[in-house]
Amino acid sequence: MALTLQGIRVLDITDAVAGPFATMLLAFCGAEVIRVESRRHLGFRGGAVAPRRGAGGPARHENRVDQTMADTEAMMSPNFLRFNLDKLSMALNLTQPEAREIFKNLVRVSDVVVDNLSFGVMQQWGLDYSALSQIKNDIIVVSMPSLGKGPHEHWTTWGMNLLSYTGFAYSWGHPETPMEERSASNYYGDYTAGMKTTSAILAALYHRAKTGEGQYIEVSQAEATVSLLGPLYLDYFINSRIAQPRGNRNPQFAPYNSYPCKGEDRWCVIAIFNEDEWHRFCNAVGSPNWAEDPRFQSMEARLQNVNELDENIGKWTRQYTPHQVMKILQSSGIAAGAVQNSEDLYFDLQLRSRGHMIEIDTGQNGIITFDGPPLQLSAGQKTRTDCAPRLGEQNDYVYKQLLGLSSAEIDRLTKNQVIF
Amino acid sequence: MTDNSTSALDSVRVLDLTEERGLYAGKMLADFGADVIKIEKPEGSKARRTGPFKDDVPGLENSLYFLYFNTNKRGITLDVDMPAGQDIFKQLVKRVDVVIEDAEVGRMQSIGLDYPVIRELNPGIIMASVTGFGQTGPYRNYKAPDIVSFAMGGLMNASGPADEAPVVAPSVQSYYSASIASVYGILAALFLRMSTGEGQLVDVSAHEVMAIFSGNGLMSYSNTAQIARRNGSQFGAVPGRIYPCMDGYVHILTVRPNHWQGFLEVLRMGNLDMSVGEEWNNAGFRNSNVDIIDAHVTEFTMTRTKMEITELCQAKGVPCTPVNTPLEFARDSHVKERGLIIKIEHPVIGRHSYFSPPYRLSKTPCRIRRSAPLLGEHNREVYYGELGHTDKELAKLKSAGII
Repeated sequence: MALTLQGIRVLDITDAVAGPFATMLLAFCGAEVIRVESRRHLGFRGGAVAPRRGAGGPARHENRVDQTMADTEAMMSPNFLRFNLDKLSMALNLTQPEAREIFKNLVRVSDVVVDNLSFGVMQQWGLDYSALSQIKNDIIVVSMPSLGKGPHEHWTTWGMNLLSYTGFAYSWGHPETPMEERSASNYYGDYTAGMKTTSAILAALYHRAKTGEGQYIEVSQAEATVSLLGPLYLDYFINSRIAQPRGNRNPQFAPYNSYPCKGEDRWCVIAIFNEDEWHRFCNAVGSPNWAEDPRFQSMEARLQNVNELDENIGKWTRQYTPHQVMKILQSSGIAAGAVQNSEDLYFDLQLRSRGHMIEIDTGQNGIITFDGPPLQLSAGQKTRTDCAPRLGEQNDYVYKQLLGLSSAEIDRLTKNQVIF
Repeated sequence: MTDNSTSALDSVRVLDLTEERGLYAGKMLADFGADVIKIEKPEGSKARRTGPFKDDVPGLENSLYFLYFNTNKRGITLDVDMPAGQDIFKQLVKRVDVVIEDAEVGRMQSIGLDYPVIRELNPGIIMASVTGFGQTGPYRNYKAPDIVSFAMGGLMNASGPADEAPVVAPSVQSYYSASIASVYGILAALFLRMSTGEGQLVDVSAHEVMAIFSGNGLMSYSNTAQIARRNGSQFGAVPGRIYPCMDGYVHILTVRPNHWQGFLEVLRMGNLDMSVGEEWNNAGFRNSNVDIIDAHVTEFTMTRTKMEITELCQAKGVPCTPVNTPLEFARDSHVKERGLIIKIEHPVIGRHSYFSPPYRLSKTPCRIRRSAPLLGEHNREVYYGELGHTDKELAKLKSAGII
C-alpha cells in the first residue's frame, strides 16, 4: 500500500525535541527525512540532558569534536533515539562554505527544509527561504524558532522556559503553591508546538500539491504554546482577570479532584458532573448515606462544602490502589483515573492492547520501548519503525545516489571535514 | 490586508460535531482556511455552558471558552439524535471532506452515523473520532474528562511540588493535545486522498497522545526501570528552576555545561561574595548540593529585576526568561512587535483581544476571518443556500426541534 508521504524528501536540520519530533511525524507517514548533521555540533545525539542524580560527571561527549566515528556511532542518547526514529542521517558540516553548496544541490531534489537553529543562522549561511526558493521554486522552508523575529529573537530558551514565559507556569499549581514550586518537570510545549508545526507543513504540502506553490513557514514555539491557554487569556482580555492556580478542583463541579490512594505517593482523580453520577458514586463507594447528607445534596451544596466532601472521599480512596479506584468507579460509569507514573505507563493495558508501544533494538543501548505514532491511521502509515540512524549512516545513499559524487570526491570532502 | 490571498485548506470542508475534546481540531483546520461548519444541538453546545463567561454571567453567547475554540467556524443547529436530523446530516456528509466527532465510543453507531455508513455515502470522507482512550482496548468505554486523561497520560505525576498532590495543568490540555494529533491525522489523510481518492477513519486516543506528551517516562522506565518523581519547576542540572527576583520571578536553566559556565560569568558580574570550587562544574555535585546552590542563586536574583537577569543570562547564552502572567505576556515588547494579539469583534461580547493563529505561512497566511458563530447563525446560509431547503421545510424542522 502507498505511504502517505511517499516521495516527499525532508532535510532535517533540527535538534532537541520539538524539531526532531515534528520531522519524525513526517517520517511516520512515509516521508524520507534526512538528518543533516555534523560531529562539529552533536547536540542531543550525544546526550544533551544532564545525567541523572548519581550518574556523576557532565553529559558525556558534550559538543566534543575530537571523536572517532566509532565513538560517534555509540553516541545515541535515549532522548535522541526517541525523536529520530525512521530517519536517515548524512554527515555535513554546514559551517564550511563548500558544505552549503552541497546542501543547495540537495535542496534541488527535496521538498521540505526544516530548521530550529539559532535565529538568523540559516540566513548567515545563505540558506534562508529567499535563497533556497531561487534554487527550487516550490520548496517549503520551515523555521521553528523559540520566539521568532522580534526584540527577543536571540533568546535561547528550552521548553521549561517557555512554560514560564507564556503564563503556563503562573497558573500551574495548587492555590497555595509558591511560584518557585509551580509548573512541571516537563517540556510539554515542545510536543504540542512540534506537532502543530507538522500540521502546518502538511497544510503547505497540500497547498503545493493543488497549486504548485511552495512557501516559507515560521512557527514560534512560544506562540504555539501560549495558544493552548486560550480561554484563560480571554478571561484576562475581556474580564481583566489573571487566572490564579486552582489545583485540581473545578469551579463548576464537585467532587472533582485528586485523592490519595494506598501506597507511597499514589493518587487517583475523580470527576463527577451531575446528580445521576453522584448517586451512582455514593452507591459504588458503599456510602449511600452521603447522597442523603444535606451538605452534599446538590452540586451547589457540594461546591460549598467541598473540603469536607473531599476529606470523606479521601478516606475511601486511601483503601485502594489508583487502578482499583479507577476500575470500581468506571464500572459504575463514573469518570476516574489513576495518576500514572512511568512504570504504570510501561505496563498500561490500554496502551499495550492498542499496540502503542514499539520495541527497538538500539544496538549499544539494548532494546528500548518507545511510544509509537500518536495515532493509528487505517491507510498510508508505515507498519515498521526503524531505529534512529548513526551519524552519517546514509552518507553513501545521499552522496552517491542522490548527488552522484564519485568516491574520490567523497574522500576529498571527508578529508576536508566537509563531510564530517 | 491579504483578503485576496488563498488559504492552504480553502477547498476543504469540514463538519464539526465536537463538544469538548475535539473542539480545537476544528479551529486549527479553520485557521488553515478550511470551511468548518460547527453543528450544535438546538439548545446549544456543551461548550457554551463552560466558563469563563463574560462578566461572569453564564449565557449561551457569553462563554469565552466557546468563543476561543470556535472562531473561523460557521455554526448551524441540528439534532442528529432525531431521524430527520440524521437525514440532513447525511445530505451534508455528501458535500464535505472531513467529519470530526468526539462522542463516547459507540455513540455514532447508535445513531446510525458511524464511519461505515458515512463512507457508503461519500467514499472520500475522512472521519476523525477523538475519544478518551480510542475505539479499541479494555478502557475504550471509560469516561475521560480532561483531568482523567491528564492523570492517565503521566504528565500529572510530573507536575507540582515534590511533597504535595500532583496537579493538573491550566485549561484543558488533554483536549488541545488530542485535537492537535487529530489534525495531524486528518491532514495526512487528506494528502493521501489526493492520490487514492479514498478517505479513512482517524482514531485518536487522548490517552495515547498524552502518554507521548508526558515526557520520556515510558522509554526511561524500559531502559532503567526508574520512576521519575515530580519536583516543582526543577529540571535538568541545578540551578534549573524558577527563582524569585526583585520584581517577580525568572526561570533559569543550566541544562548543558556551557549554560553553567555562562551562568558563572553572570554570577561574577553580580559581585557576590561567593567562592566557587572546581567541583561546582560537575552537575552531579551541584544536584547533590541543591539547597546551597539555590541559596546563592537567589541571593543574586533578588538584587535584580526579571528583565535585567534575563538579559544578563541571555548575553551569556544561558536559557532564562521572565515568569509572566497573561498581563505581562500581553505587554511583552516582543509579543507586541510580532502582532500576536489582535482585535476581533463579537456581536454580544463586543470588540476584544484575541490570539492570531501561531502558524505564519508566507503564501497562505492564517487569519481570524470571523468570530465564533452565534447559536444557529449560519442556518439560513446552509439550509437555504447550500441544501436548497424551502421556508416551509425549514419551519417544519424548526417546530420539530431538529434545528
